[in-house]
Amino acid sequence: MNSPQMAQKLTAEGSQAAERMTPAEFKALFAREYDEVERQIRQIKVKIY
Amino acid sequence: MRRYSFRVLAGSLLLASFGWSAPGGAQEVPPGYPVRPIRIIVSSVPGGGLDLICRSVGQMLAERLGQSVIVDNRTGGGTVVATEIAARAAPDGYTFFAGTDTLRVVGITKRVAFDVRTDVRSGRADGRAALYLIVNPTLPVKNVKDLIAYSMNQPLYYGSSGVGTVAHLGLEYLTAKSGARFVHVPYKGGAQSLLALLGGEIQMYPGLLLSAGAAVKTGKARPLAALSLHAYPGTPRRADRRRAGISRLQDHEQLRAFRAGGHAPGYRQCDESPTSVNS
Repeated sequence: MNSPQMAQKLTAEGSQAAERMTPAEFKALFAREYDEVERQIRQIKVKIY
Repeated sequence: MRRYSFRVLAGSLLLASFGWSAPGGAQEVPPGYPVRPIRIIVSSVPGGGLDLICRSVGQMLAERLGQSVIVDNRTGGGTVVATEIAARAAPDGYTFFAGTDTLRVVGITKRVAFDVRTDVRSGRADGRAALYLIVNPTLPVKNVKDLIAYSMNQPLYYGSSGVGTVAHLGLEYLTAKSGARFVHVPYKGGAQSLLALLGGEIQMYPGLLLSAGAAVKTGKARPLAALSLHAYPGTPRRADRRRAGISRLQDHEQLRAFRAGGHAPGYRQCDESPTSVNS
């Protein structure tokens, strides 16, 4: 994803490669965002069934 | 102008190499890996933003590893179908899963029998793709403020790739906070949502320029606003958040890759040390 070719492709479409992080860092980020999103889903009371 | 803030989710590029797991967490690459084709199970339909990225990644992997990489689209259930197939795959390093951060919602709402926080044991972020609020160009609005006001007189329909997806939640959040009359129409995938937008079945589609780029360039669709807080290169000037009337609606797609089970040596090496892949 961080190759020059992929970076060029993503940039052309309004996107970009993410910052690099270790699996452990990713897992920690995933867990943090999980809790936050869970709270927000409860807040907007949207039905996801 | 009201301020909206929604820390979201995103599309994940979730590569699950339910691979072998070496003692102590260290990962070992079996001799000769890969000796057979690698499969990437993709939770989006062919032609969707995630699918397009996965095909590019697959092609690069195949060139580096000297082995075929098969992109296997398994849609349905708002990522549930693909997630379960990937979770049941043999942990041999030959099956990856590519999904979106909708996986998080799948976990939160307990739509799968496992905990995505613990069963997906490692991962990494691989890319971010901005989510745009794309509208039918015939809609007489210039920004999101106009859009919300317009919906007060008649409900506006928006498509998504399914219930519980990032696009769905982002628009539901905006609806809840603004009082707009936006009605959700779930489709099988983003590509179908885009077709529905072009056909006039729906008026809005929160999606990626990766998949909607051609329609935007030909004037058949219009990116009304970039929903991401982060300013991405290539964002159309008129879709700039401030111009569009959104100051803090943070709703982006983050393409991530991670694996449940063991490591995916091929992908890992490609990402971290491309020169070592074939050594």
